[in-house]
Amino acid sequence: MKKNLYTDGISKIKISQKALNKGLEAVRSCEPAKQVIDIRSAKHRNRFFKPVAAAAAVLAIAIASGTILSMQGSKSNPFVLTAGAKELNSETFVEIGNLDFVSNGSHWVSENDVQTPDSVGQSTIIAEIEGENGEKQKAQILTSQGKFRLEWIEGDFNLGIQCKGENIESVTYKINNGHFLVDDSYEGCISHSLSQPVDGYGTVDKRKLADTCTFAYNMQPQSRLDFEVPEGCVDGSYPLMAAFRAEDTQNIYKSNPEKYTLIPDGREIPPYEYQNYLNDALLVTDLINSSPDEYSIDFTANFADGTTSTKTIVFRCEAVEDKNTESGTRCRLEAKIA
Amino acid sequence: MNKICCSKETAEQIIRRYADTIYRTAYQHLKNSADAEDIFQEVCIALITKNAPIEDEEHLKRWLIRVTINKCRDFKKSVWQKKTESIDEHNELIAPEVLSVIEELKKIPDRYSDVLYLYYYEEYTIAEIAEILGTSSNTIGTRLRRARKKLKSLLEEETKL
Repeated sequence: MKKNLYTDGISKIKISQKALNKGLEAVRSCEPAKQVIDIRSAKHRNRFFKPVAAAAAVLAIAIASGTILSMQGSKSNPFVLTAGAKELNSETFVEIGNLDFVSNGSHWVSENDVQTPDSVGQSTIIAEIEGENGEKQKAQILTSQGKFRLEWIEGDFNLGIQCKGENIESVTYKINNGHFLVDDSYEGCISHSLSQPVDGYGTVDKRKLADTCTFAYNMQPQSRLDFEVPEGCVDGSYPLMAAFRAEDTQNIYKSNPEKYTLIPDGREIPPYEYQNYLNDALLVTDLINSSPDEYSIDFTANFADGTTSTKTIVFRCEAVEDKNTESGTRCRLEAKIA
Repeated sequence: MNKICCSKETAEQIIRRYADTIYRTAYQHLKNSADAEDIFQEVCIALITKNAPIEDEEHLKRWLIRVTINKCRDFKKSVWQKKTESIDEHNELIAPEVLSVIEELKKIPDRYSDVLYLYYYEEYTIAEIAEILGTSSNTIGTRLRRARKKLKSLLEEETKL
């Protein structure tokens, strides 16, 4: 019934003939795109030709000079990391993105009695609980009593970082303690690796999660900082999303539960709704700030001469006031070179 | 396989076919017909100036929806939008009983309304919506759950009146 009300309402939203005509006029007055991207040859070159050619060239140089050439850390091919107009450095943190969304996984544990009967007519769930000796066991729990137990939490950030330098063919991004949310249809993504399966994600989604992904130099994910769409153009791409994940959030949550639990004044919250009132953005912020070495991204520039160079960035989160958001604050992600 | 460039004739056909889809996507996000029409113009230009995936119908539709939502997000960030009151002069074209439903839908935040629209109206799966919006299925599932609750309470209030 509600669905029909919704779809009926939406179906009545139709464009006016005048607006349609204006759109058609705009098309007639524009020049079609001239750039044609050869997808097959770009992938072929990167997957097969380049490694063979590069290996042959390096072997020839090594034989001629009688030395072993190190492929890492080429000093003759420097590169910088930028976030919008700013360049990242190793001294100060620079804003690179924002927290877009937080997911968490949780279940309930009984307050005292794990054998709470369901004969009183209240709904129960089967959940894993901790006994006094620390052993985990399954138990039936009354959902209207008990306490919330947070298992894991994940913050999805939009990243606004680009690698810039000369003679760079591609850039490989590698995330530590998280995964990238990769858009397969984006032509700039040459390849990506699958990360380990992650709890809380369906099988379809796992193929979209990657530990590493390599982008063509000129088609790196677009920075959203200082982002402006040129006149007459539209951005059809997506920023790269990085999801940082903490598997065991109990310690930090237990340290100050009042800080992370938001309960509206004077309202009783049904247990199943509790997670909606967790101050999860704050929890993500504190997790990243309390373990700065755990969350990082490596950027490896793959140069045309076959050499590579890597820089690692670490993060800091800060909640800042932003009246344009629903909550009035946003969680700003900052980074510096490690 | 080369990507096919979109000719003006092809672009016109595509726009006629997807005009309502583009406009609806923009309207339900921006909740304002004048702004939605502006976004529609920009998507029309994008179709011909960018390399739209026109060789596959389903990819094309998703591309158009994605570009539309991107443009809406960029538009909402602009100073102009923030300082401008919405003047919806086209509402008189919509039947009053439907208009009241649409007015209720305007109260739903855009991060939820996008998901609702793609799920219930365009009938995409959660995994497909995650792909279109560039986020995880888990995230979309959470948004959909919250959006349903919000929609339900809003429409219940509406039907009580």
